[in-house]
Amino acid sequence: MSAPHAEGAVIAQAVANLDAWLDTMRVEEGYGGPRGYGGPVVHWWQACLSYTGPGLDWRYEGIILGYLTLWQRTGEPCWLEKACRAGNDLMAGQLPNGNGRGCYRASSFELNPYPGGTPGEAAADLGLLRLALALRAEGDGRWERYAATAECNLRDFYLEHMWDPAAQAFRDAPDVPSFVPNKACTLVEALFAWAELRGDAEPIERYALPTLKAVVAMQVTEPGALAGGIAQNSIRGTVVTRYFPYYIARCVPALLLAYDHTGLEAWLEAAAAAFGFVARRIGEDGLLPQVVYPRGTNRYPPWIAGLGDVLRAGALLEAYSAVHDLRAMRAALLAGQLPTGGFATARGFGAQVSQRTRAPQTASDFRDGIAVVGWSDKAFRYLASQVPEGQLLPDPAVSDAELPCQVRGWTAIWRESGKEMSLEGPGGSFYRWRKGQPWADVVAPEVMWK
Amino acid sequence: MGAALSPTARPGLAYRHAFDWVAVQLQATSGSVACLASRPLAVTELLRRVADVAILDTPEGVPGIAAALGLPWTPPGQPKDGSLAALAWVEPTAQDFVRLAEARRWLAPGGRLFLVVGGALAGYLAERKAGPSLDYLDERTVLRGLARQGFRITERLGLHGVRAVAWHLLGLIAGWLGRPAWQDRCHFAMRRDFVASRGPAALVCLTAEMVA
Repeated sequence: MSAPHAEGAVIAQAVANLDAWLDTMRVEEGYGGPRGYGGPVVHWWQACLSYTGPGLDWRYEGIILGYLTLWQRTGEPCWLEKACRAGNDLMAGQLPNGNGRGCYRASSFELNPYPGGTPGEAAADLGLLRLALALRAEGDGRWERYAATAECNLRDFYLEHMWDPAAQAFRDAPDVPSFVPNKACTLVEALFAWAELRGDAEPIERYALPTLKAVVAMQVTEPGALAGGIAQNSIRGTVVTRYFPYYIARCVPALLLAYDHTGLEAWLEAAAAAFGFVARRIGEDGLLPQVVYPRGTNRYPPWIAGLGDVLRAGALLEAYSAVHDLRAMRAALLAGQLPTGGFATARGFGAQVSQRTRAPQTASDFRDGIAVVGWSDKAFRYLASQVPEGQLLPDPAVSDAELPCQVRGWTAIWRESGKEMSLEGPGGSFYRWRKGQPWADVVAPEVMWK
Repeated sequence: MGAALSPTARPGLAYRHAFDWVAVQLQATSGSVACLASRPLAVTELLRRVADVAILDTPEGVPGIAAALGLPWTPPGQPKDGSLAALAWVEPTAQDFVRLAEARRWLAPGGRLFLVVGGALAGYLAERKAGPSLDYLDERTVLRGLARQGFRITERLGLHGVRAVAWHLLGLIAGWLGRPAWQDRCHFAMRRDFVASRGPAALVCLTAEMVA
């Protein structure tokens, strides 16, 4: 067996396991909410362990596009149907009226359950529009309803509430002059897909390219350690000089779309410089620091599942002859898969305050090992693109997971099966979520971590 | 009312914790549950989380809020005595807390009352400054009322307590010193210490059980 063939089999197995895990994360309708992919969320800014209902947010970008990619690579219709099922979740969860018209219920990921999440709304649109394009190319009439759902969101939420004509860019909040490049780039990707669907470049010329100019205006162009980095955000005209390698990587696909559309080298140079900033920070372990500041770095927690987006950006750039050695990162991603098929979210949440890790033999923080749909979808989308053309996925080979961990200094065990996620300590249960339920059953004060 | 709902409006961290806590308690309760709320903010947040749970005696704007959230809503009937396994009561006021005896009758034997009330640091709650001026009861007054009606407290959670305030202030200082890395670390320490069972807090979550 050749090495590429062997690696292809490993990836196909990883994707099969991840698909099986995603199926365990489905939540049916309940408490007035829609159905969809649920589960707890852990994130840099905060966690959302209590609400476990469907999050109609950026997880749908990776899920829909991952399943579409699988369908295209394997030719198996079941993957297209799973992409459509995810599209149906978004359709059913779109708010019909009021000032939130067009928004998706619970699109705010770590802030859920709230609509109006950024980039959750745009990421969902991107998934829907790519799904519509694929179905239309197949002559499948379902494309129209997915396109209509995304268009309603783009018109009634983004163009109505978030477009700032003075700034010629999309705000991050309707009432506050604010701009977040990586979120804007997700929206730009959706606008390009919308333009393709309409056969009309107006969304690109009128909204996407001006927005990307605002992104590039926040890129460091001077030589030095921060060169190529894109500041995380601006608020009321003040640039916040925090540089997140992960989010900078998420800007790359939109910049490449601009280059493809215009042929202007400046867009490609901006994309290459942004990824150069990221690539310079890859550690020997294949991981990236969480935030780089003009003075110092907060390394912890480096993402694991989210590396899929970084690898995807690197793969896109390869087509433009910008090649980086991402083998260690790819290995780190694959090593992060749990026995359940989900992916560990990060490493070192417990060091988020101190930025110092404990001795290597010490168990990690419980949040590290939680598989989150809205992170594992990043791994899914990338790995689906790496499944060899024509290779069918094997049967999943998954099992329950049991991870020793720490909760505020106490020793505990994180367990996940197809039916439940739980965290048990010496004094009893810290956390329990019965899969399928929109809220956790047990959330002890020790894990109330927003 | 619905027209006033911004598509991206969210309450502050303390309220988000409190409403999530209510939702988890109700989800974990077997049997009929219901909610009492004194103002539109609470109704909105409860509807977002537990839309098919009866919200009793709500302000007149509830149908509009439900419509703005895209949720069906039917006016609930009055609970029968002894019919509820749990009742959640968000920010009781002097005007409506007189109904505590009535609420006690709705609860089945062993039934629980989940309360969200303002604590000693309630001045930090921006929503109270911005919202209508209501005569909210503080924690001590509520505790006295509960004791008089034969309830005992089985759990208390304080949200946005002294440690969280201290970390927040340290973070501000770090920001003024031009050290965003330290500022972020203070921010995470603030969030880590945001929930505490003891000490003064801005919002307090109480679980009360009827004493037989």
